[in-house]
Amino acid sequence: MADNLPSEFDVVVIGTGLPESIIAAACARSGQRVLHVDARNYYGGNWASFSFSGLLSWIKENQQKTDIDDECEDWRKLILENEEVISLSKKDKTIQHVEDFCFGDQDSAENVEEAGALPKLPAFGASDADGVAQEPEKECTPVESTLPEVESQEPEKAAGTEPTSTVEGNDPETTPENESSHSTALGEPTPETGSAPSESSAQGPKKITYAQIVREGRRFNIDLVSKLLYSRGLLIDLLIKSNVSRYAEFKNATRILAFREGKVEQVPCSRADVFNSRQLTMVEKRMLMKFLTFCLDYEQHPEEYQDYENSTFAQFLRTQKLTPSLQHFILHSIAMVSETDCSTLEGLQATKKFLQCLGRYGNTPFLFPLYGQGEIPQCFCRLCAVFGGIYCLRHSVRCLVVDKESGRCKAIVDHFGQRISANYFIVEDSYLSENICTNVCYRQISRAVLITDQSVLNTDAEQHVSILAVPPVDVGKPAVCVIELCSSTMTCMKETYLVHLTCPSTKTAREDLEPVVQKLFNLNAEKETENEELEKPKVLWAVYFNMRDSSGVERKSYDGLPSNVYVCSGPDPALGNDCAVKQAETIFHEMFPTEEFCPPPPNPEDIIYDEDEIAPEESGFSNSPETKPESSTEESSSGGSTAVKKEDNEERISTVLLVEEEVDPN
Amino acid sequence: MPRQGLSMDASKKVDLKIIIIGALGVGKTSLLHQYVHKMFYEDYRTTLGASILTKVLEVDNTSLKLQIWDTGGQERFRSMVSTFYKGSDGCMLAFDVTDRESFESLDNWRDDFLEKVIPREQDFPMVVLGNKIDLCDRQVPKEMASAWCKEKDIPYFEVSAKNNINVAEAFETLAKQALATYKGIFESYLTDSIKLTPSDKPKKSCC
Repeated sequence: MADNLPSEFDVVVIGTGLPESIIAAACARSGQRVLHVDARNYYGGNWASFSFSGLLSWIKENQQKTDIDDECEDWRKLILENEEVISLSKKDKTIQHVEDFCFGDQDSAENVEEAGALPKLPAFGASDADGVAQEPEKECTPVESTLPEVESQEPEKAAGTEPTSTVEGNDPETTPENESSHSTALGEPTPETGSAPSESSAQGPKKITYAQIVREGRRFNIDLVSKLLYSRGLLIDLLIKSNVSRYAEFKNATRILAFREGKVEQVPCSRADVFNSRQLTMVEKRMLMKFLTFCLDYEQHPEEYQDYENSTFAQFLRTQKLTPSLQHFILHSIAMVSETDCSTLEGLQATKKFLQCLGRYGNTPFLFPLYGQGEIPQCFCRLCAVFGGIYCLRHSVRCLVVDKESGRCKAIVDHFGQRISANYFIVEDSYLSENICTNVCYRQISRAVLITDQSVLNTDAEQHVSILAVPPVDVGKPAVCVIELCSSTMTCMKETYLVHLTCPSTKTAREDLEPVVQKLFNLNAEKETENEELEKPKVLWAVYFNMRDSSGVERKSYDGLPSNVYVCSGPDPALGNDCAVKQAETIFHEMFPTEEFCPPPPNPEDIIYDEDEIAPEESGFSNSPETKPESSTEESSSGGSTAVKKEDNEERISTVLLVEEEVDPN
Repeated sequence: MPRQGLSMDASKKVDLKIIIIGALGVGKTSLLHQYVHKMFYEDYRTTLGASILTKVLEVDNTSLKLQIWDTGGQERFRSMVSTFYKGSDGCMLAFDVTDRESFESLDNWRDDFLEKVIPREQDFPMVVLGNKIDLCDRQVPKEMASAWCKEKDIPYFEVSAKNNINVAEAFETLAKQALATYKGIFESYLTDSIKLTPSDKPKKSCC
């Protein structure tokens, strides 16, 4: 397939994470010919999301230490005398300390060990009484669709029935995994057709087994990166402005939670929440409202805080008329800043940002993309493709070719031995070889993903997306951000929750995060537990890993980068996506200072153009007749309304209304 | 689209996402344009460009809004974003009757699709379109294509985007299938989702 790849482009982008995908879209949008490649067979790099089996493959890949060996040197012939080569990395090294744990119950283990037959599903047996008519059909479903994954779990499972045992996925004895027919390609080896059990609404807590998780694996979309979108943040604004928003849908984060004195509580933050709260006393309500109202335009009242400019925000809060619990809510769940490292002004600004985001789409400042964060880079890639970008997954790049005299990069040589020239090169950090990065001091992000059976805070309504900040036990350490997703976000199967934990790393992810997991969840599936434990949600499965944090690395730390090669970082540990968007815009403007960054397309749909005209003279799509054969064109002014011509409008606009009605502020 | 937890209110349009897949150059974009805009452009040569087209139609007393996603050209190197597949309610598989290889690759396209979508109890709504029947040099006989489709239990349509033969029928059949499946899967727990539009008016913040 690579043989009909053009050999000349304007911009080559290596890596499909968020910043570089935004850049690719911006470049294509402004008329550049873009080649966008990724060495993997999936989009997103460290921003990707996976089905359950996909994640298991990813875990396996990252637990193995194999190096890719290739001795083929033919490509050297493509390098001219006046050129030199910067090799790119052969293997990704950004993920470490991957540890996965299965806390399935005994039945699960039995099912898994049973080779060649369909796993028994006692949980379904129990609910059969509800009249799940499809069950017989399910049992006949050939098991080959699930067996490979199931088998590969055997070694872990055998030990995993001891819920408290620490089975480390990288145990060298678990070699049978390698023998399974599991392809190394991520994603399902075979399609699972028609095997989705219909789960009638539970009358009581349902016991989810590991086997069910495996079986329903494609209902999971597990993000490597855990973030939310601020309703008034750079990413949302960019999505709307560029019209990339049409490719995605969002859910409101519905609850802001706090963890105080061993309990999870809901934090009231909107006016309505505060009024309706049963946790707060009348006095507290007034205090909170007063303080938050002040924060919303604190700059207008410098007298209130100027005496505390040299204090920490935490200290400042103590001087305000606020009870300790209110101080906790504000510091940890609203401002979400450090108790020791955050100044009064920073805290006030953070609080204000939160408050300003309230109410735009819902009662909290945050949105979450349906199907997970991994969708977002893909949406930008799609935009790039629609504007002519060429996409090649499974396409590694061997090296950059640099002109000795000018020091500029002229081309890449890919793994098929093809030389492709371009003017600009965007490379995601993980593709750079160790030589270039020797002086770079990377930080790490500690991550955990849990599949649980109940919410951390059980209320009447089941479907919640919640964010919970857990303050550190040692005050100098970072807080842990916990995001709990319900199944209607399309990230996990019904009756389960997907819980993401994140913090900047101090140690391994498990060391950093397991203490918090233990506080919030019950890790002892079968053993006799204290009543208290029983109330906590059960963890069915967990993975911990450290991810490199290459955000904030200065360009000059990279050794010997040609001037027309730009580096994009991987995910940063912050909650929002500002870092990625800012990077993308900065880099784009360094390359093309006069071009507009992701303007709205003049005709959001049906732009057709000839292969020869991929890079029109003018930026974007002018309404020139050659490029727009149909007479009815739509002008959608940037940021303005999408209502243009009535009949066409009805048909063409794919996202007309917010499904959730917004209250008109007027 | 993810299901709405509402009763089937007749006045509300049902949103369905349809995707159209197949080898490069079979005429997917042309089919889309013929169906939605009743236009056909002879001279453009590639599938690049079109993104999402919308068509409103009435099926079985229900008002449907079909959101039809074109590939954006990413099929060229088999690098479709999975976003393309997510939430789809129906799939249109297209090949070119004058290009044998495009027919033979249908298996791959279909498998690819089934691998990427969330599995369902019923068969996924699908139709196959053999396009370019207006041309003379056929390489795929009707019987061959029909047999393949019959085996997979997928309706087959011989179409011409250029001469507008059978195009609407194919889309409407798929729409009907997708609607029937939609009504069948009624996952009432799902809550509404939010779509962002440029015209969204922000509320004042609640403090």
